[in-house]
Amino acid sequence: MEHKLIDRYIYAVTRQMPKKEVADISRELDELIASMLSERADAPGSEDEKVRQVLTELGSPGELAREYTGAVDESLIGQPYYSLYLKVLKIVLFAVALGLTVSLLVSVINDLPFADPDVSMEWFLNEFVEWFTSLFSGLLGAFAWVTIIFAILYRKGVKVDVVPYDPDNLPEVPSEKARIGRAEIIGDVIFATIFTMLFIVLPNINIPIIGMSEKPFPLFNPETLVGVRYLLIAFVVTIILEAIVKFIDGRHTVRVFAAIALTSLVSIATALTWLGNPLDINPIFGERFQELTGFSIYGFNGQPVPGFGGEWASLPLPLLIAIVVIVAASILEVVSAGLNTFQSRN
Amino acid sequence: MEDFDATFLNSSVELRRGLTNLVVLSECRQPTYGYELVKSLEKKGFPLDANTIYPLLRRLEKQGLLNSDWDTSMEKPRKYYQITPEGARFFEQLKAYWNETNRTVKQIIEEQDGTQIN
Repeated sequence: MEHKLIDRYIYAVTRQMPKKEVADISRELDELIASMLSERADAPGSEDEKVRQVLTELGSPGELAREYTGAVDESLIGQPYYSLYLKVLKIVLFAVALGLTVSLLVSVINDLPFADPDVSMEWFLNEFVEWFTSLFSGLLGAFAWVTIIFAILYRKGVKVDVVPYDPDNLPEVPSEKARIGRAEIIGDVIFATIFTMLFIVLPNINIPIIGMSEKPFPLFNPETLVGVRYLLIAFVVTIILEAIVKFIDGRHTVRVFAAIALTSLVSIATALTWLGNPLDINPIFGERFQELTGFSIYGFNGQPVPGFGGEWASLPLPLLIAIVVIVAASILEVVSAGLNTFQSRN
Repeated sequence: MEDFDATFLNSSVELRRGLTNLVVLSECRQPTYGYELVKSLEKKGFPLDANTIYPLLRRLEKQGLLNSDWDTSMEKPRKYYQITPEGARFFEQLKAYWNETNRTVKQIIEEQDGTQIN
């Protein structure tokens, strides 16, 4: 039985299930729905109406999924509150974590002893512990409040405006191409976190080069890092924004495409502004590198890089390559996201 | 009593819920597929929703009381469930317990019925 609504229904039921069970349960549900439909074969009414009847009879995908995962009646928060509770909890925890992280980040940036080149590990550790404790207590508090409120609503049977189930409102099944995996989102967030730590919170340490000099020194010039601080923050914020939109939609939508386009734009701007500065790499590194290997990192071993004019030709070669790669990759990402978004809509 | 009907419905559903495992295991002594089970129980006067039976069959299978096989010889493949030896042993024990409980409950009720008449 081929019907768009049936596919959507089965997808909605199995969406959050473990992968190895999805195929089997989908097949079984398909069989069940086909059986229920064939029973109605002689009844009056169009095929579409019958499909709607059957899907309504089966109940909302959430309830059915809950049956599969093992419904427990002696629960603190039962259905239909539970589905809404989970949704609200996810959003609240995400918002609290984001809010606390951003506000602490701002306070760290303001407190940062930029004038002092030897930012001690102890100072950094203190900030980190402070962030962690407030995050932990914030999340715990948010969790407790949401849970208590929903437990009371459930006990008292208060009517919550849960969107009534209607087969016609089932979201479309995204094509394989249009789906966005959790791994991709987690990858983005981890990258943003590491980037923030190295280049925004700890510009004086950033990537420490050990063994090329008596004392370890940072690979990137802390002064230029501090100079482009706000651009770097904007870069991280767009990545996090993109991750949030991806998390909510779970597929390539126009909103996700817009977020990706914005991130790409900001990352190109960041690459050109930050990496396009010849002073960006710590001059000590350039000197020591030339002493040790006899090669200059600037230009093509000291000569202008062919094909590039002006300042670009004398940039450190690795930076020039990085800029070209970042710009190309950003443009490619926008194009591929655009294809995924607009092809899958037809 | 305002919520009489609702309370009654609640109680009867609770009562039947405890018996679904027994009834479903009993039916699965013959190989059967989900929708056939829905129909046969409905005919026999113990109707259960399809959205209860399908997940229940899976759960019983996970517990090792049933096993399943896809029959792909027909136009629409069907998943047939059948009781395992372990499931049969479980069923016999549950059946004995049900009979015993049923007897006891009847006794309790009849005893009181008797005293009330006097």
